[in-house]
Amino acid sequence: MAIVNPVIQGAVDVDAMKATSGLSHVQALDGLRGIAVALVVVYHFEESWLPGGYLGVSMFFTLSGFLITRLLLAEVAATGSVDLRRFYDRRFRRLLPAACVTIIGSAAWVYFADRLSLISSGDIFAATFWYFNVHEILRDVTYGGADASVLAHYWSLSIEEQFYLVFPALVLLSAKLSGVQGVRLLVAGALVIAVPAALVIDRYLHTGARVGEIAAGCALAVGLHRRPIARHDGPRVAVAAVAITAVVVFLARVVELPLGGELPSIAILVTSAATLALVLIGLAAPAAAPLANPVLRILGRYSYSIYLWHWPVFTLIDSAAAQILLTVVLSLGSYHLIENPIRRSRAVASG
Amino acid sequence: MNVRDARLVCVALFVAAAVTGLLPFWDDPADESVLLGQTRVAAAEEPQGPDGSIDETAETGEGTDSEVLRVGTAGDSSMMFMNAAIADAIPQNWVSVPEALAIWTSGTGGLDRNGCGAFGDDLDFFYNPELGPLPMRNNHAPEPELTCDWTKWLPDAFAEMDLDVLVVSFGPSSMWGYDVGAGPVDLGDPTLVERLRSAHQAIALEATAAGVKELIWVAYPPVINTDIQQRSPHPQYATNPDQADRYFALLSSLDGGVVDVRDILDEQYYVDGTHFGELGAAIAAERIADAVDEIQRASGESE
Repeated sequence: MAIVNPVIQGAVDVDAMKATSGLSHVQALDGLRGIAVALVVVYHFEESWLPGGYLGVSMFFTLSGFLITRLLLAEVAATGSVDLRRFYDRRFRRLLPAACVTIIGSAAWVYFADRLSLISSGDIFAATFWYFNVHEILRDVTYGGADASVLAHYWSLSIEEQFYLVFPALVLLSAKLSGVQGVRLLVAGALVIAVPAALVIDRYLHTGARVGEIAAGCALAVGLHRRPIARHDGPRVAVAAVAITAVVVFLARVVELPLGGELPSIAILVTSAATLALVLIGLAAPAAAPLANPVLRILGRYSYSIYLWHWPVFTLIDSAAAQILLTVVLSLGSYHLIENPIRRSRAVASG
Repeated sequence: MNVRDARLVCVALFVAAAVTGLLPFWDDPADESVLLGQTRVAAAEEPQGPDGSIDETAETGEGTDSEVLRVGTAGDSSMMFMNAAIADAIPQNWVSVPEALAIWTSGTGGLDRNGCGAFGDDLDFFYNPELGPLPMRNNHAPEPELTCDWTKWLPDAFAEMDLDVLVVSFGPSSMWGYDVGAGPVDLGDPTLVERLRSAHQAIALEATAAGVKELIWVAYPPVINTDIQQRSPHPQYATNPDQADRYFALLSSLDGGVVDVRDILDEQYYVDGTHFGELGAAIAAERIADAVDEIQRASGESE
């Protein structure tokens, strides 16, 4: 069992730890989120413009794997453990309210618009309890297929939340067994299993087929743990970022999703690798263009709200202008009225 | 907002979302829609007969109880290449053409005839510049006689097969250029559109007169056969996605539902760029099976 500093254990301030361990907010990663959400939204807005825009979801998966593992590793390194209660509390406050409001709002909208075929009780339960991808697989529905529910986009949120639910517990177990080294072994094992699993399972919506993209992000976090990254603000970094982004956009322009719901493995692998490279660039040049340009950063900041609301809006409204306007309005409202106030809630001062 | 309040809000919203799923009105059969392919087609408010009158059989539930629906197919060669997959997708529903009726059939179990469209022998179509306008009957259908006049065969077949649902695919032979009197025109021509609509309605009328309760029209993709694209004097016709869209719009205006397979376009889904191969047929059949399933459920709920 790892030896834990008894003074620190149980009293660690994660925010302070983030500030001292290089985990502070990286603007370029907001830009990366912005690219990802733009790909997905354009794909849903007009598929022929970006037939492979679904690859944006891979970017989210890989980025989530990286950020969560980085945070957990820092905590393990500082305390020898993971405060699961604290982790889940923060995750739930971050993700759950806006997701639930979107579910309720979409259901109400569908009801009053008399478009009841676009939702079912099963959809609502599956979205609320984070098994929407399983729900779709059990109904034999393929992504982008015919019977798209107004909540169909919850499939990817479900996979992310399944990851958030299971992974920290595994990290805690590994940390208790052999500290940071245990976490390294956990991630290495996950990567070794997940990548071949994706090829074998070969179903777009299947959690087992998508863990590889998340594990790739986890692996980068493990690889970078306690390794300082030299700053490289300069034109070469900018050119590299543009070139790698261009590769992703090119893939998004040409790689259509197979109609049978198979996983386009090579395109996803390349997207995941490109995301890792962009993360590295973002860390080396956190405030540098082009990843940290204001448009992408704003898109990235609102990415969760945009992702939540764009699909119900696109499904329920025909006019392109109204789709864009309403997505913007609802995303802003969701972010400023629900997501941000709850996420930034502070503990009541004691005494 | 403090953390405690934030947690309460989270729990409240989570419970509210879950309770939303418990509300019973989502499953109200009065609002049931029939989902067909990529198009959701609202079920008719009242069951209607072919002439617009109320179908008393459907209203009283006779024949629409939870018995397994009997499903058959009819069409041109596009149907021929889908039959095996459809039979596999809905084995409990599938009704194969009896051997005694094997007149208008390719032998794959459906009422299909290679090269024959919904127009029958009425119009000449344009396929090859060297050949000029061709009578449809000269296309590929020499047996049992040189004709595409489906009225000679289909009505009797419908009556004999006792179908509940008829799946119809006349896509490829509906999207060519046709001669309506002054050279070739395509589906953008109002005269041709109306004639094609009438031809489809005539088939629907025969089917419903023989007891078919629901029609499923298949909105076929454009032809992607490069050989045809090179030879065709009017590439704006069968190989043009606009033609497929216009055909989809026409089918959507008919009674019945539409299974949309226009997005199955990649070569891997075809045997020849016109007809589905195993992969393409399986995807189309899956969508048709979903549509049949919706109709089955709707008919069970209307009891």
